[in-house]
Amino acid sequence: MDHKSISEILNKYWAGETDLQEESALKKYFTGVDVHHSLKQYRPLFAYYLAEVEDKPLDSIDAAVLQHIQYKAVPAKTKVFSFSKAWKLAATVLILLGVTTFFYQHITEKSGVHITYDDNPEEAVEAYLELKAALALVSNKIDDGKKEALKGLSKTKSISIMK
Amino acid sequence: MKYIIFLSLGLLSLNLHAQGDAIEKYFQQYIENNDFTVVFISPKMFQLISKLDLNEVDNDPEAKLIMETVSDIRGLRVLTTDVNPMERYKEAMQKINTKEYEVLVTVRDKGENVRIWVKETDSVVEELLLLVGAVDEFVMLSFVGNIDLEKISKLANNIDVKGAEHLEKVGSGQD
Repeated sequence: MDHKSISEILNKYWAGETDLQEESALKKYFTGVDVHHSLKQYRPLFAYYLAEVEDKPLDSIDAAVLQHIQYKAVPAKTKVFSFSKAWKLAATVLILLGVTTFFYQHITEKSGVHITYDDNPEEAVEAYLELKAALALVSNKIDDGKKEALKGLSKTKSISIMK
Repeated sequence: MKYIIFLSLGLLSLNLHAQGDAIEKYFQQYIENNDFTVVFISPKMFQLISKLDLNEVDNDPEAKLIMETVSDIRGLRVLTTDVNPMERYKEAMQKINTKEYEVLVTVRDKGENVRIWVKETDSVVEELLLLVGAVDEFVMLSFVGNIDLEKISKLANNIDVKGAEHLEKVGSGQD
């Protein structure tokens, strides 16, 4: 076909008014060797378009699209058992056990005697006995002190002590 | 904020009160401690004791003298422990305010250290403080009131007390 006719068909193509026969003619012309210099700029374009229309059947488009969708197999994350939480729980329980045992021992253990004698007449005798023991201790120590003093003095020759 | 100020003032005033009696502070420190045996006889109890009928209570011939001695005493505190006794003794010694207390007796006998202090005001003994530091025992004893040293020292020779282990240890000789 001559280039002038092709030019007319082209115009129709741009308007979207070409039929299959005319498009076929366009393809034939542009994939051929002899393309007029004024139409050369369109050659790559039409080679592409027409190839697209003819050579790619519908199902291969699907295939092409599907190729680009990648299914990443993501395993369902269903956590059945968490080790870190289990450890934390165990540690807490152990600490609490240790602490409570410690305190329990201190509570139940026999503690030092703490007695206050105040205004209970029934305790007066007991208190009196404690008092007596305390006085005995003090007076005994005073006595020891006196004895030590006397011993020391009696060693001094210049002083005579009545024993 | 106000609460904190009031609280600290309150605590401070408590401390200031205790300052007057360094020994009381020491007592307070150990009153919660289960290593210690703590005995306190209050002024009220002293009054009750003075009303006891001696004939029923004590056969000891010294009982009368004891009662006389006790008549002007207001209070008694005793602290004892067998846990780290020598450390406690040293600690207590350091806390004695030597401006207030005067040494009456010092005895070192068979691994036992004994000190007796008195606090005198106008030649009246207001407090008698005894410290014993031995290998197996620490004793801190405080009599407050109007203390008659003469009467107390008179008690030594004849007093008959059961269960006063300290007497056995020192091995008191009879004059």
